[in-house]
Amino acid sequence: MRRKRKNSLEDYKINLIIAGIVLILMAVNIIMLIKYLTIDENAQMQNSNTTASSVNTNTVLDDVTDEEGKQMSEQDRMRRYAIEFIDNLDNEEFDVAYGKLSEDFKKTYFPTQNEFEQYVRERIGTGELTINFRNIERLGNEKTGNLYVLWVDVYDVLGNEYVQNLEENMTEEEKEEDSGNMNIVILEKDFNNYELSFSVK
Amino acid sequence: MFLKLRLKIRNFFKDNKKIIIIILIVWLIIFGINFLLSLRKEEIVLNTTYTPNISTLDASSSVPEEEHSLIIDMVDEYINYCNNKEYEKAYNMLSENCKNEAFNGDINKFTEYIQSIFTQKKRYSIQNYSNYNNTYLYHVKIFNDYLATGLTGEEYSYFDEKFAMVKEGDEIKLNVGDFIDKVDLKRVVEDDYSKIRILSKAVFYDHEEYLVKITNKTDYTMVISSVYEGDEVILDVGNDKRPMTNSSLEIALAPGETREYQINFSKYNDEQQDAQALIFNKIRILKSYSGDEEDAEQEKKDAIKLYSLTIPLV
Repeated sequence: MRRKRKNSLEDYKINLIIAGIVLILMAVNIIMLIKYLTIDENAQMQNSNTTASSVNTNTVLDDVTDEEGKQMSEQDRMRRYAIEFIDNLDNEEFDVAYGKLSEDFKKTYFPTQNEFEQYVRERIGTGELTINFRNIERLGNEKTGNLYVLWVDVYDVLGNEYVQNLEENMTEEEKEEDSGNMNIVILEKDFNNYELSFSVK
Repeated sequence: MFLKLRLKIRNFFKDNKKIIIIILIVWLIIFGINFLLSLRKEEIVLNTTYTPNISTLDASSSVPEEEHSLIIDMVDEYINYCNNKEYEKAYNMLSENCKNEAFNGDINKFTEYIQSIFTQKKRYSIQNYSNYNNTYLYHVKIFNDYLATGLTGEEYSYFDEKFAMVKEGDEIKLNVGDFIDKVDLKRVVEDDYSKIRILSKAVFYDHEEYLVKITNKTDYTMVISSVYEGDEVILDVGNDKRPMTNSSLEIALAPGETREYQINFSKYNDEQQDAQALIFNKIRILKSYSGDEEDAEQEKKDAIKLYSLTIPLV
């Protein structure tokens, strides 16, 4: 009878020790998990701060990784695509710029790259192009990709002889219409995966 | 030294070998899961503020996640049918109520409607607007294929309409043309002169259409609405009293006659206040009725009865 009591006391102690070990192990796991989650949150906060500061310093054209690009704001991504396109024209990289155009747009307005190149040289200019952004509107559609309409002014800083000749015979109203006002329409499928078109004069 | 303790510890491990191994395995599994979780990188998706399935009217309301892709696919399919001129397939996606209320159950009317919008290939954008009673209301903009034109020679504009997704049996069906819902009302008011039944109302985004059946129980002409008087039939929307919008509708019944009328009122679906009552404000039981404005005063002077009737809708 006494022995049984002693055994039961020992069993109790052993169980207590095991429970203690289990509790310690669980506590270690929980601490590790909390530590992991806290690090993750901090990393996310740091990331968003980085994005915000990069926007503030106006670095939409900086080299960015795919992940960084995806985290840019929609407005900055659209500005980036439009600036890249205008840069292509400016640097006479017509094949690259032509490759960015929507197929349906090309079919209607520029069936060949030569026609596109000729239009750009005559009506937009190359060498010293500058772009000002006026407005961006999103037309959301998850199925086929978001479509963005940009209202921009694109100017050849050095002037364009062809355009100047054309404008000589224009009224003020026609000149206003023929000025750098342009729409750029961008369909974004993923970061750096887009097609675009623009209003042809 | 410590021989007793060492023996105790050895015995403890010996006696509880199984339990200790189990605890170690469980601990290793938990440790492993933690480690794998820390390795897992979440896929980064494009940053966008576009949330098509969260209501713009009430940001705390959204479409259940399991319905998202179904609804998005449905709208895409419908627009594709319209673009491809497959009108019958598009028509079949509509709810029975929508077919009957918005297009009188006539596919030709639907086709005309679609042809007036889809004059060329169109694109669309979609945004959840509001959700109530298992009806998901989406704001849909339909516009020219700007990607194909670059907005060359055209202004930025779009056709604006509300699509409602409703459950019809187990299926989700589409309501278009700003039609949202049909509600059976079955309100009846009867007195010595008339019996008025409000059968149903068709709810559109910007107006409501009430189907009313009126019986003239008298031996005289009953006039409820003439084309020359105002405030004859009114919708009570709380503090606001609204006249019917089909003001050219004449409601005049011969002795003993029963007729159905459709009476329309301006009312936006997202207004906080529901319609409270339908007021027939100037019911005239007339000895004679010519329909001429000039005779109206005299006819009223000779009237058998002039009265007003309010039919509660809630």
